[in-house]
Amino acid sequence: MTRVTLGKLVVGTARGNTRERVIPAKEIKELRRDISERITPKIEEIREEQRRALEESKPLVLL
Amino acid sequence: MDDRLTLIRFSDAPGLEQHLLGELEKLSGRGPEFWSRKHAPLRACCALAVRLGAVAAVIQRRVHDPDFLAEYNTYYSRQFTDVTRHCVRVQLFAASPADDQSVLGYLDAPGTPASYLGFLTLRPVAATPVGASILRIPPDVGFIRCADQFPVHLAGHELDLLGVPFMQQDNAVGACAQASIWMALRTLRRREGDRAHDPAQITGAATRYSISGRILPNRKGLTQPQVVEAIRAAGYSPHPIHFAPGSNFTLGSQLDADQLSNARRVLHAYVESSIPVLLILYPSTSGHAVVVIGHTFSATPVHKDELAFSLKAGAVQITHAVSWVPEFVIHNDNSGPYLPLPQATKGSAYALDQTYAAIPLLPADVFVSGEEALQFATTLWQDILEELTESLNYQDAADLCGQFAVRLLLLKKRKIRAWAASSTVAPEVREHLRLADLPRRVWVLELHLKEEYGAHASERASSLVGFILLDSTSDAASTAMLFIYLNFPAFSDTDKGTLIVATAAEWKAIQIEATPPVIPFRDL
Repeated sequence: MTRVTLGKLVVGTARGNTRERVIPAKEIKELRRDISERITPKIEEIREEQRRALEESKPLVLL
Repeated sequence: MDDRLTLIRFSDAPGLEQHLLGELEKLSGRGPEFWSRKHAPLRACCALAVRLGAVAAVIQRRVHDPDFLAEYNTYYSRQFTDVTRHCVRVQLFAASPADDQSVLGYLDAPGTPASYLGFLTLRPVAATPVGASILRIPPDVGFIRCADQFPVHLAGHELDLLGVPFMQQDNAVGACAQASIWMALRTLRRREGDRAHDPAQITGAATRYSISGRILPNRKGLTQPQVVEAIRAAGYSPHPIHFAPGSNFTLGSQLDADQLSNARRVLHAYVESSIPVLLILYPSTSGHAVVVIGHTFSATPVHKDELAFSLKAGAVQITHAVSWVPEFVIHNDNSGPYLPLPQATKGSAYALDQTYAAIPLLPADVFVSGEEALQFATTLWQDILEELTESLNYQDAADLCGQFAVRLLLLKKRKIRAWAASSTVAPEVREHLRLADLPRRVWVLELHLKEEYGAHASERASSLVGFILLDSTSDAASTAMLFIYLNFPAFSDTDKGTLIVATAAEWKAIQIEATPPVIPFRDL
């Protein structure tokens, strides 16, 4: 079975024959899981880097 | 006693400065022997006023300026020497007065109110005289995103003023950090509510939980944690971002090319969102704070700031909107308002590559940072590009991606709805944006045609061909996406577009007819 992705949904809608459709709940669940799997690790990476930078920061006086 | 209002004329900046120094001497009771190199902001303000076209000013005496009154009550009233609690305000105009015209005759003349250019406040501190001031934005300085309207009342007239408040540190109640925080808070005041603290309140808030020396006089400045606390106390969400993590960045260090490019992209999102950003600079002398309020703009890209995408067809790049930004524009309390900040250090001047950290004053109801929003939106965009380029060879995929410029900004929902109400975008897009439930603020990744983007230098160009809207309050990647609109016919051989509307209740996928590119959410 083809995996549902946001890209397929967006491009498929433009190229398809259906004018408008409500996405079934099961499909939304899959899309949400796919988005979460792609994005969450990258967001965590940004937060981890910013936390580390804060720990290492030097409190210089601003004049 | 001098009249409360006096009309003066001048023909150049030194002429205006001489008038002001005369007023300052009378106000402070201190002559030139007390003046200092710290008069650079006064000279810069006089030069800017004349550049704006100022030829006359109404000198307003015995002004009760609330910011100086706070400084007075906190510090100057406790000095043994007499210090007045009054200020002088210098109201600047471009209209030429007639010979022997009275001050009221001048103000009531038909062309005078429309020629208003702003005001300077002189505080009775001879060495650091520039108090709370607002000058109109110079026409040649680019896009001052943080500017707001400030109505000014003078002798029965309400005068219109679009600008960003400026102040010089007084070097007693506050240093550069307090002045920069004051400028950032004051420019947000009307848009975000009355949470603008005066310099004494800022120093009080900054030193409430952590002190490193005497608070008054505040000769030792503030540290970054104190700056963060002062911003938090004013009701904003301070978000420190360090551009050289893990390095030995210190006084005199400079960001490398990659760090500088990242700094530009990060700053651009906040500045485009009208969020002032405090920059903590480490020049070779000592730490210094300035506030970023806008940027210059070039009709052609001046930097190669790109976002990298790894597609099955190969690695491709998409141009970031900051590529068209030669310099950010700052208010620098020790040198003047509306100054371009050069990218690279030359001699002893301040530059962007000296930036140790940036602190945007995020609204307290925004939980997703600009860095996170950019990552989120570009990951979604990558997934769409992957599908769009599936059957293309590398060169065709790179050419397709090479058509785009992306810009990230945070917008209030009322701005989005106002845009939808007047835009020529497809009717379904307009309707859904106006009717959908939206959080108060939304991160928007705009997709522009690169060829058209530079045209914003001189006109409201129709360059927008798609966008991704994200919930700025989301705590889960899977629920942050709100809208995706892509006008595929404007940039590919697909002859229909797509609108995805994602709400908590349901997701809709709608096929959209082709329309020409449209003017973006916010003018450039």
